[in-house]
Amino acid sequence: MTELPGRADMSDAFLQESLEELYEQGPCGYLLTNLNGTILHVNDTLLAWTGYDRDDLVETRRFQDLLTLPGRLFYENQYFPLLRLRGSVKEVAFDLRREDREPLPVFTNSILRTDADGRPMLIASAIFDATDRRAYEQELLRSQQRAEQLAAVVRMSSDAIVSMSADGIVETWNAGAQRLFGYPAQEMVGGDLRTILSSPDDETWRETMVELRQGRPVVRDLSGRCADGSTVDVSASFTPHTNLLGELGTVSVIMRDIAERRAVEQLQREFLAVTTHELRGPVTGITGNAQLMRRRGAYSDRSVDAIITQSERLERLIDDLLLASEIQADRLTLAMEATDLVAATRAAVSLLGVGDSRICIEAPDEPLLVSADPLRLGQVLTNLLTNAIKYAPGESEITVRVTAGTGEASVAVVDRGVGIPPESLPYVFDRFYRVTDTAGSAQGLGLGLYICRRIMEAHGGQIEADSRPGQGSTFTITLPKFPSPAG
Amino acid sequence: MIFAHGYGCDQNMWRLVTPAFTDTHRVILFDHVGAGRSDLAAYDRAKYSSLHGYAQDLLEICDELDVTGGIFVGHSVSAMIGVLAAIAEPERFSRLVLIGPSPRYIDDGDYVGGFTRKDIDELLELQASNYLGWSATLAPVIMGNAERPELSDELQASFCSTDPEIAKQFAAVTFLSDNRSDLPQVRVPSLALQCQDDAIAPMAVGQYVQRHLPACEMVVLNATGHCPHLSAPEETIAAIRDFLDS
Repeated sequence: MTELPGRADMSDAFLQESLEELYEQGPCGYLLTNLNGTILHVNDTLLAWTGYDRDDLVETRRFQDLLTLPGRLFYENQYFPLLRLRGSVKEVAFDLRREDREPLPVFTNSILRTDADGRPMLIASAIFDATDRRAYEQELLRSQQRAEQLAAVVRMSSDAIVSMSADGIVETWNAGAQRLFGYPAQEMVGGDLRTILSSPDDETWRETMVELRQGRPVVRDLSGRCADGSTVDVSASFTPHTNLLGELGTVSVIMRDIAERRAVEQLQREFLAVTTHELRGPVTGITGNAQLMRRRGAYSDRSVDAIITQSERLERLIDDLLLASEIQADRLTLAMEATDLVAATRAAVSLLGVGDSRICIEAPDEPLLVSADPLRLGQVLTNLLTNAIKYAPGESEITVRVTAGTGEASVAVVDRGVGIPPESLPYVFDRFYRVTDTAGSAQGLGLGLYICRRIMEAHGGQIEADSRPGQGSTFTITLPKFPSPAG
Repeated sequence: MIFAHGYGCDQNMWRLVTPAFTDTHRVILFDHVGAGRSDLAAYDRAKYSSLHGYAQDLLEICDELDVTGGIFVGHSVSAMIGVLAAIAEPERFSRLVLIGPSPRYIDDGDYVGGFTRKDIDELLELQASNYLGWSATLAPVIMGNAERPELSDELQASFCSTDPEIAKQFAAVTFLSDNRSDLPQVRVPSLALQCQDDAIAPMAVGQYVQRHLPACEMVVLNATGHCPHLSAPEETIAAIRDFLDS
């Protein structure tokens, strides 16, 4: 066994040499500067890191000169004030500019050395290579930003986004979940998610958990019990998160109210039924009249008239469907021009082919110019007039009133018909909405007034309905005058 | 005499200068919201999205303390905050002392501010990196700090412990602001103190300020850097005294 060498075995010179070597070549840069940053002393390590010769730096450059411009700004604004007032600064990140202009990320610690009278004399700094640490920091910052973005998405989402443990215990509960079910997070977190679900049954839930344990996402329709006692149907997507051993850790659950989706599906089913019914009527009429002529082997004016009438009805239905789908896809285009509202109204009335005695027009004598697409405006007027005739009994009078306001002009179509029930009035301009009459039946596609509203909106105008059951209805359209007041 | 600290620190910045004036003046010190021991709850992102928010605070302080014809001393960005306040309520101030002022940090056509937009973006990144939590210096409250018995605990605890989120916005507002068109509107006589070798407000910027501020005297100090009130307090005090006596 040889004894380890001790202090007694080493000469002072050897120790001194070792210290110097540690100072010069240790894994850390050392730097002495005066108060304005001028470099007084620098060790070998820092020279090697920066690529400078000692003569390039000592008495020639300031520490700030080795910094990037933002670094200098930071040095002046924060590093130096701190050092001056607190006497030391620890672990501040800078980029040093190497002699080849490449950046070297470092951490810098400095102390202010004072003389016996407490007068600040010089700054002693230790500088550490922080290349790796800076890279981790950047990655950490990026991850933090990503996490914050995701958290914001979860927070702001209108969907309920919650997470639960493998046992179904709620771990997180976002604002969307609170909106959907009415329970705040503090009430739900830590509780069993199933306590607020009225379906599925145990068996389905167990199957769901089996799928999730195998790492497979699951989509299920569920019913939830809300805080206010109501029930909400949701579509839930379960995403399993497994740990390194493949065990189920957390499950993310995104739930969306499907009442709206179901309502849309229902509407679409009804629409299909109505459309089929409406289209079948004229087709039956056409086929019937054509077969009648063939059976008789003779031309019949009456049959041909009926065929033409029914064909025209078919054409109108198809036009309405096309127009509605264009509007729905936001592809309605308008050819706006200065249009005389009085002339347009008179033209629409005369097109109806109804006697003057039935329709009374109250309009100014001079033209009233509005900004409108004449074709679409005509469609709206025809639609309103046709409705008035359809819903007003017998020969009761219909009044069409054209009036001018300050920046706008309007046409009101007033009938003395059956009117619209108050509960239906707010919905008459909705798509597929059809007012049911007293006999419980309804007619048409439920598109006419919807199309009118959208056409008026596209014009920057509006359409309104007012009605008293048994007394009649008034439909009013309003359009901006030409030229529009805005210029 | 009201002293306004610049970006990055707090009112302690003035510790080496204010004692010279306490005998002759009432000295008012404050921290901008977000800095030092200010009430962080008073921070409002919208209000402080421009320097006008800070100028409004300065005027509120003047109003509260009934300052009229006061002497304003502002460092760095606070020089511009003082300029904005003096335009809004000139009667509040009889003199402005602007230390290292810059109306715009970013170069713009013929105007040389000393920085490019990229420099400022990098500064904001560096800032983020230093606030990450490893920097013991800049987050002393969070990290605890070295024993410095000669300084009061109070100073240690508060000095430069700017709230990171607020500091980020303050830095962006400071370094992206453009107050060049405000300068000619000032009616109060002013002194611009310019250092040698100031990386933040170079000589050309100081000269620009002097040319565009009506009644502005410029004194070039022997001090270097951006904080002469810290690196050369005696010279700074003398220059301010000369200006006040003139």
